[in-house]
Amino acid sequence: MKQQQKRAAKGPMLYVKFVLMLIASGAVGAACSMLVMGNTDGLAGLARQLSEGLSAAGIWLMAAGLLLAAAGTLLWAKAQKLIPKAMEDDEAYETADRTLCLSLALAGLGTPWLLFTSCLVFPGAFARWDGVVLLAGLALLILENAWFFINQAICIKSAKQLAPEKQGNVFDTHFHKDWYASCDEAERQRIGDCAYFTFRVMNAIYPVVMILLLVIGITYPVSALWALLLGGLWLVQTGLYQFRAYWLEHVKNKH
Amino acid sequence: MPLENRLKELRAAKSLNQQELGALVGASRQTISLIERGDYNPSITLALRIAKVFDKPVEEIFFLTGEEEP
Repeated sequence: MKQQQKRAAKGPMLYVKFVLMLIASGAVGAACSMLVMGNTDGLAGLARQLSEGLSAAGIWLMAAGLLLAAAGTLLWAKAQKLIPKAMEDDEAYETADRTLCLSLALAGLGTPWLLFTSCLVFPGAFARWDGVVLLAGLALLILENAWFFINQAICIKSAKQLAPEKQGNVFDTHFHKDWYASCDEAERQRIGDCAYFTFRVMNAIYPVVMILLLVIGITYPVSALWALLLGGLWLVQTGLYQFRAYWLEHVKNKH
Repeated sequence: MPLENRLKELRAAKSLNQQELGALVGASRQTISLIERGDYNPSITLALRIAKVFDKPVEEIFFLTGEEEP
């Protein structure tokens, strides 16, 4: 009741805030456009410098993935040591579960990091035909890929020791489906919370990046492929969410 | 309005650990831990299953505290 009263009191202010946000967004957009139009050469130089810098740093960023993998393995080892005690003691269980969760999170970040840094390393190295960077990149790609995968596999194995009811084999393409099917109501609710949080954050990021692309694209030649990539990803995300919501609401339970 | 419970106390009285209670009610050990900490409100089905294990009415295990007004 109190919350409803608070919301009702805030009513007119919400609209004022919305209008102010629109005006502020327009002003920022206009300022950016003028800045871009007045500094086309500077922007081109900045983009070139940034691209070259990222390409040069790529191999080191890729190597930093080793730290991510090592941290994941150390956390897993710490959790694994606690498992025998965790089977008996609830507090030890909490600590083991939390540590394992962190290790799994690092292992999950591994593949996107590896692919991101590969995109920085290989195109530039091929263009320059830089054999040392190419070989180092290839070695890191194979090593880290295997390490991250092993981290994921051992984390899942340990998670199954803590929760024997869990199903799914990491070598199976249906792993996520089987794992979800073996989750109970609280776990499914949290998976839903995480997924919805990610959806909301990404829905805030996409328009900002697309507007930035639009502003820059007005004066600086930006490949249409960037618009296709970003717009395509945004459309796929929103479309999947909306159609899934429609299907759950109006199709699934009607038969 | 916060939902509180006496799950930890009742579980201790019955000498059950979280894993054992979880197995009896068809929930994970993590979920039992979340319920005990007040971080998760169980569904009616799960609350009834828990009540059955302890042979008590649901409202003796789970109860609302704080304001009465919705």
